[in-house]
Parts: sequence; C-alpha cells; structure tokens
Amino acid sequence: MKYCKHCKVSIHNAKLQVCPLCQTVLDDELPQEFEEEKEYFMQLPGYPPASVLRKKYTMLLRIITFIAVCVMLLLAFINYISYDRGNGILWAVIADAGIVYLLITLWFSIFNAEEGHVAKIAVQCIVVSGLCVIIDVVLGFQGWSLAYVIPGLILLVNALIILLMLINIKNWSSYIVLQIEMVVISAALAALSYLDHIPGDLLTLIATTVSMIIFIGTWIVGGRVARTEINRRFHV
Amino acid sequence: MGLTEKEMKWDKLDNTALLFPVIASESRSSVYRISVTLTQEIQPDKLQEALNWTLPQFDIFHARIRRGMFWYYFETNTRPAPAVREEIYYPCRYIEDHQNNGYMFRVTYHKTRINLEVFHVLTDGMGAFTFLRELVYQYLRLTNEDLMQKMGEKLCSDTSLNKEDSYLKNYPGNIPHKKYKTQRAVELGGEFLPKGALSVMHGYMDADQVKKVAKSKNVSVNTFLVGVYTYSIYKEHLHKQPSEKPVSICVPVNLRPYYESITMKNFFAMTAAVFEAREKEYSLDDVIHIVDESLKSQLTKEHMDQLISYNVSNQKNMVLRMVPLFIKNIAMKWVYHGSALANTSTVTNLGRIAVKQAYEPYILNFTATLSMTKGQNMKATVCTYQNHLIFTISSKLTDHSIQKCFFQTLAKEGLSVTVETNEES
Repeated sequence: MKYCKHCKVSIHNAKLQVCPLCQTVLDDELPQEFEEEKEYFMQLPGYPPASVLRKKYTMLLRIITFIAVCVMLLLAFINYISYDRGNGILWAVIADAGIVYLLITLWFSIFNAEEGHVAKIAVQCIVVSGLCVIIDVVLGFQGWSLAYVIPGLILLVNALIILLMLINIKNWSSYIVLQIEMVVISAALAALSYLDHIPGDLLTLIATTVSMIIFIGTWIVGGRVARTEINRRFHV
Repeated sequence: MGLTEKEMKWDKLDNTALLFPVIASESRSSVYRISVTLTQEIQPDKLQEALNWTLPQFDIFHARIRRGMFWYYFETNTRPAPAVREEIYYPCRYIEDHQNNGYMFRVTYHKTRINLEVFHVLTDGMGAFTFLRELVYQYLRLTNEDLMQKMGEKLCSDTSLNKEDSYLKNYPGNIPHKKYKTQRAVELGGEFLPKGALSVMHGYMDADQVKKVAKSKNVSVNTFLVGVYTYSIYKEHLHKQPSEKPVSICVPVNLRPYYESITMKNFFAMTAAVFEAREKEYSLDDVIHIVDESLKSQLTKEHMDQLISYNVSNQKNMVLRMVPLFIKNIAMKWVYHGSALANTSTVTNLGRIAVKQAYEPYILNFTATLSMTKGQNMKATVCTYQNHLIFTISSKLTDHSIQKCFFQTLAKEGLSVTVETNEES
C-alpha cells in the first residue's frame, strides 16, 4: 500500500507509482490510520491485466460489405448507361439482389453466433424466396417463383424439420414454430393459387398439404409438450 | 415424448426484465457484477462443483431466454452449468447466450475472488446476491470439511426461491401519475476507453465512520454518498457553473420491504436524486441537502405505487400485448432512448450484507460493479460487509477527475479512504 499526499487517500495497487486519481507520485510511508488496516488490504487479490474480447472476422466482414456495396453501385451504373429503353432488362437488379442475399447469408447465417439454426433456416427460406421473386419480376413475371421455387423450398424445409427433430430429439418441440411458419406461407400461396395469381397449383397444393400434415401430426403425437411449446411462444 | 415435468417449466419475464433483451448490446451489456473476496485462494474445480450443485436449485438462473411471437420468455435450460473461468477480461462483459450454454450469467475467479456476472433480465442485485451467497456457502463447505459437517449440504434457511412477479402481484391499478421525465440531464462525456474496457475504482472506508459523518449532516449514509457523488460531478464536470440541465442520479430502490415480497426476480423502482445548479455556487452541504429533499419526496409507498402503476399499465394494455415482438422491440428501444438521456448516472446500494456466522471467517468483503448504459458513462455501487463500506465507481471515461474529487471530498470530511483500481499504471 502507498499513500497520496495530495488526495489524502491510500492506494492499494503495489505496481502503481503514481496516484490513479491525481497522478502525484505516491509515498511509501503510510499514516498510522492506514497502517492498522494494512493486513486486511494485503489479502485483496487486485485485478489481473485485462483484455478486450475482439470478435474475429468483424473487420473482414466490413471490408467485404464495403466492396459489395461498391460493386452493387457499379453494376447499377453500368446497367443504367447501357439500358435499352425498348426491350432492356434491369439485370443489375438481379445481380444486386444476389449480392444482398450473399451479405445477409454472411452476416446472419454464417458469422453470427447469437442466432440458433432454426432462425437461420427461417431467414434463409424467406431471403431465397425473395430473391427468386425479384428475378421472376425482373424477367417479366411468369410466376415460376411462386408456382415452383417457393413450394419446393417449403417441402425442403419440411424435410429438414423432420430430420432435425429426429437428430435433436431432446428439443424436438423447438421446431414447432418453424412448422407454423411453413403452414402460414404455404396457406398464403394456396390463397394466391385459388385466386389464379399463380400458374399451376399442383406443387403449391402438395406443399400446403405436407406442411399441414406435419404440423397436425406434431400436435397430436407431441401432446402436452407441443401445446406447452405453443403456449410459450404465443403467450400474450 | 421425452421431456420431464421440470424440463417443461417456462416463465414470463417480469416487468423490468422486458426491457433488457431489447437494449443490451456489446457496448452496453446490461450486465452487473457482484464479487466476494475470500481469505483462501480459489480452487476452480471445487467452484465448478459448487456451481453444479447450486444452479439447479435456482430456477431463475437455471434458464435460457427464448423469443416468442409477442414476448420473450424463460424456459428451463437443460445444458450443463456454464464453465467457471479465470478472470481475464474487463468486468461486466456482454453475455452471449450461445457461447455460454444458453445461461445468462457467468462465474469467474481471480486469486481469492469469485465474480458473479448477471444479465439484468434474470434478477436484480438482491436476487443475484442470494444466488452468490449460496454458491459461496457450498464452495466453502466443499473446501472446508468441518464446515460441511457443521452446516450440512443444503440451502440456507434465509434463502428464498420465490419466483413471483411482484410487479404484477402488487399492481395497484391505474393511478394518475406523471410520466417519466424526459428533460435531458447533464451527460458525462469526454474521451472514452477502448471499446469493451471498463475502469473500476473501489474506495474502502470504515462504515461506522461514514455513518457518523452522515449523521452529523442529518442524512442517511446513502444520501450522504449520493450527495458527495453529485457534488463531485457538479464541481468537476460543471466547474460549479450554473447549468440548465440538472445532474440527475438514479437511485434504485428495493421494493421488497414496501410490499413484503421475497421474490428472486427483479423488484425495484428507479428514483432520481435531482440537483439543479441554477444560480449561486453551491457548497457540499447545499448539494447534500438538495439531494436529501429530492430523495425523501420519492421514498414513499404512494410514489412506489405510482411507479409500479405506470410501468405495469403498459404491460397490461391488451392492444399493446397483441403487438408482435419485433415491433414492440422497436418501440421500446425508441422510448428507452428518449428517457435514457434524462439521467446522468446511477448509485445503487446493496446495503449491509450479512452471512451466516459460520462462514464469516472465510469471507473478506463483497463488491458490486455496474456496466454502462445509454447516457450514463459512469456509475457507482455501495456495499457494506462487516465494518467495511466499499464505494465502487465504474466508468468508460479516461478522465478520473470525478473519482478524484469524490474520494478527496470524503477524505476532507475526515474519512480514511483506501482506493483500489483495476488500472495497471
């Protein structure tokens, strides 16, 4: 222990030469009132040299994002100056949408330890669907994204759900919300198909039916556990 | 299908806890630390064993947070207890649940000190202290055979495992009240430490001496310390000049005694000691008197009822309850950012800490450290154990003039102060 004559306090840090409060050089001699407490303070452990936890890849991701934004702007510029107003295609929109998808995948799905795999699957499903719809719209909207791609994705995710429920059988109920999301999306597609906004409805019908069967099956077989999971997730 | 009754347990967040998952980030972690210094070097394997034994008995801590459609909620965490690690980082670091087996607390150690860092969503200082106390008791029993034989391997009879949401239980209905103030307060700014770093200064004092000095000024110990802290900000940051913005110090109040609650969950309310430097130059005694008046007017049951009513009424509103969580989060963040700048700093007092007599010879002291939040770049805690009162100031500012003024002022008032810091040079 040392003493600061300026602050009139004792300092318990053996390594310090100057007072951390006023930067005056510390005195080795302690007033009597502090000598009596010396034994107590000698037992204090102090603090270790501390470091700051740095996330790996953050700088790399930022550089990649910056490059991606520059490329997007460049592509948009090239498309703009070369665009044929008669029968041109906004191909830069497709390219830029693809780059945005890659960035979302990098930031959210790959280099993100905070979100679980269920959220990553859901986000990938939504983002891939969005990308396909954008491509479909830019190319004149023939409806293939809604008729084939999204129903196909729904079937793929449903297959993945079953596989994951078997692998991660202790936490099988945590996939119920993903099942509900698939039911909602496929129901929306079914509604669009019914209103003739989608050409061809077979795959949509299959996707909707499969989603509902899996969800209802989980509800029935899962029993109280499934109902509790839904209560937790949707409690108001 | 598989899960046991215990594994199916889930619980809602209490009223205060609803905010923390929304505002917590790497730079503002909403994590606080409570530490206990023992008289013996820590044995990590025994500490881990103690944690493995203690954790399952505290549902509050034995949980992970999940995202529902409308609210966050807790469910039992079935993974093993988090690993006890040696302290190598700055205090109150952000807790990433995916790197901590899903738990929202961590236990670290350094030489003879055990640190419990808790994400505020779980509980407040009282709840965290209860858990730490049981952890330390079990650790001491494992490392001292005579203690194990004398005390037995069981929880202390003073410990409550109650998980009541006391905010909802004591909701007095809709009481007309003022909204939380949004007038901007003085903000302590300046050069910041590197991101993630935190400056910690402990000031050790004789508790009886502090009580004597406080009594000579006709105020409580807490008011005296908050008054000196406010004065230090007034002197060093405002340079004793008049200011349109007030110095507003948040003083959390433990609501348990007011409502006879023994819950382990959060149950506190925020009062604010407000000092407005309008005209003349104020002395230390002037500031202490103003702070005393400010706090006294708020420390009434009626005021606590108003605070609970205001906080809980939003939670009870059916229309707001039906709003999807991601929209709620945006709204809560926006409201929080508006009100966060209405406070300069926080001083929280854990009070006089008592442990069972059999364990006293093994325990040296308790300290607490707070992380920073929006608008508050310096905070303080008070912990008293046996006859040592420890005032801890944590800050992310490089400048220490407020800490200097605070401890110098206490020394001028006749107190013997020993300062310990986590800075190496």
